[in-house]
Amino acid sequence: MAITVAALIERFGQIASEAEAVGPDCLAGVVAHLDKVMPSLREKSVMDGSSASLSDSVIAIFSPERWRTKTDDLIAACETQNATVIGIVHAYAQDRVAKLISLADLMCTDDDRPDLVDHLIYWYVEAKSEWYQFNSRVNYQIMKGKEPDLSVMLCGSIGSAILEDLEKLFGRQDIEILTDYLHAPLPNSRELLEKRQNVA
Amino acid sequence: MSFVNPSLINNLGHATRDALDSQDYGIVKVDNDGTVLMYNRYESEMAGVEPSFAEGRSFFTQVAPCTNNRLFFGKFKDGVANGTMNDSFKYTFTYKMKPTPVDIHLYRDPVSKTNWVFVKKAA
Repeated sequence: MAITVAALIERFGQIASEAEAVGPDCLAGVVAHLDKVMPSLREKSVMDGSSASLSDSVIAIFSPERWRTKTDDLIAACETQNATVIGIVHAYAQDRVAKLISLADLMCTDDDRPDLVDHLIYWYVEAKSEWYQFNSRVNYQIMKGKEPDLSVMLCGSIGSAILEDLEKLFGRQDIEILTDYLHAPLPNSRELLEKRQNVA
Repeated sequence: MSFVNPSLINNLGHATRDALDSQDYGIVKVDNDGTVLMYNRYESEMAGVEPSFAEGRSFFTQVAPCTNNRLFFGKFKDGVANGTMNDSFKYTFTYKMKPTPVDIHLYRDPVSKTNWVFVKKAA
C-alpha cells in the first residue's frame, strides 16, 4: 500500500501542477480520501454468491478476444474506415484490458483478493479520470469550432464500456462513492481533510 | 430553440410526465442543484438510464457525467446564479454509448422558475 500511495501522490502531483496552486495539503487530502474509501470498499466489493474467483471473473470478462470484437462492433457502428483511427482505438482497448488481466493474473489467490480489489479500484479511478479527459477534449474541440478527434471519441466510448463491465463486479453503492468522489476530487478531498483537521 | 415544441415551452410549469414522454427529444427537469426531478422516455432510451434511477440523482455528476464540465454544468450553474438561462450548443456524448452528437438547450422557465435540459440527437 505504501508504494501505491506514493505513486498516487506522484500522479496527482502531475495533475495538480497544471491547475491552480493547491499545495501539499490538498494532495494529502486526495490520498486521505482514498485511504478512507478503500477499506469500506474492500469489505463490500466482492462478488456475492459467485463460484468463480474474482481474478477468474476479471480474466474472463476482459479477455482480449472479447474486447477486440466489441471494439470492432463500435467502429462498425461509427462507420469509419480510417485505418489510423481504428488502430489507435484497438490499441487503447487492448492496453486497458491487458492491465486488468495482468492484475488478476498476478493476484489470483484468496489471500491476494484484498489487494486485487484495491487495484481494481485504482484502475477504475485511473480509467474514469482518463475518460473525463477524453470527454472534455472532444467537447472543447466542438465548442471551439474544431473538428472533434474521432479516435478520442471512440477511445472514450470503448473506455467507458470497459468501465461499465468493471462496475458490475462492484456494488452500486461502491460505484456511487467513487463517482461522487471523482466528479470533484480536489474539493472533495479538501473537505475531508478539513473535517479531519477539525476533529483532531 | 429550434427543436423544442413552442407549446411545451409556454407551459413548462404545468408539464405532465405524459406530455414530456410524448416528445421526440430528451427532456430533463432539474432543480437548482441539478437534481433530476423528471426524466422523459426519449432521454431514458437514448441514455440507457431508467427514470427511476435518474430521478433524485444529480444529472450532471451522477446520471450524465459527460456533462460534468464548465461547458455544460458550468453553463447551468451560471444560469441558475443569474436567474436566466437560454443556451443552445452542440455536444457529443460518449459515456457508455457510441459517440453521439447532440443538440442541447438549457432553459430556465421564468414563469415557473424551473430548469430544463433539452437534448436531441444531431441530424
